[in-house]
Amino acid sequence: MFDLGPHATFIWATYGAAAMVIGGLITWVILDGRALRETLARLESEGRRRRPVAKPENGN
Amino acid sequence: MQRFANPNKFMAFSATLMPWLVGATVLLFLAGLYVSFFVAPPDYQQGETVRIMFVHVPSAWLAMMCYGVIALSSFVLLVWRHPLADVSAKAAAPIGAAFTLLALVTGSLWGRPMWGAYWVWDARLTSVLILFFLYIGLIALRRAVDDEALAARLTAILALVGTVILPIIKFSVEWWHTLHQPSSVLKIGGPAVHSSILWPLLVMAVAFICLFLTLHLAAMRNEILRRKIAATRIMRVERAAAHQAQPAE
Repeated sequence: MFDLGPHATFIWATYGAAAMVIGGLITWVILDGRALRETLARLESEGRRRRPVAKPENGN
Repeated sequence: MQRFANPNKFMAFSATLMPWLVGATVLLFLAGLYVSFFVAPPDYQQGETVRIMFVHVPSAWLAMMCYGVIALSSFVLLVWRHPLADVSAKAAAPIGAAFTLLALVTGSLWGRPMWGAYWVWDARLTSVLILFFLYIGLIALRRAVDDEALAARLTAILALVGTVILPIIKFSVEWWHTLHQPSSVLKIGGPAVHSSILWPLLVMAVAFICLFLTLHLAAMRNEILRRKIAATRIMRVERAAAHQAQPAE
């Protein structure tokens, strides 16, 4: 391990805080995107199922 | 630029760009962390604590840059009603708030060994804290208004009014006597930092900027999907209402 001197705790805490904030942002963006894509895919598949089938024209 | 105003074209363009941005961000962070810990020497006055600067300074720059992006997007929204401008402003706000919080926390962790205090009410620290509250205000205002178009206009106006904080933050260390040191990189006459410490700082700064671009692009893509979902739901409700309103044959 590095010898970061008497203030090593503050240095490690800084990089730890950065890892937490950056990790949190990345997690938020990925999970949000995944949930949105799933919702959109579900809505689109429901839309395809519900779309009314065109009635055949029989001339009556 | 105008051809990316179409959300579908933006989604296709950003999907192509995203892997390159992710790759560049990872490589730059690996290089930045290596030079920060293994190449940069301890400072002759601050010792090893100078390594806090490699995270604190890029975070503080991004906190201001991100607000600049929001202000520019807000201006474009209000003047030209660009369809992606509001998406950009909305997506950037939480990212800017997070980097401002990181700048405050890391500054506090640097202040304790250097000044003997985690926090002092000096002009630079206080103005950055106000910037953080501005970000929170932008997010809260948008959530408080149900009408999406009205929320966009109101937050854009607040964002533009809030730009006054940017020069205050930048020049606070010159206008007032502060405990915070004056600018030592972005200053007239060139950087006052030794090149052995300046280069690692610049590598980390570029890594942070790439990270911001990646996150902003990803958050914008998410926001476009969110709006597409909302539009699909509204269309479905309207279709169902129209179907019910048809007279029974």
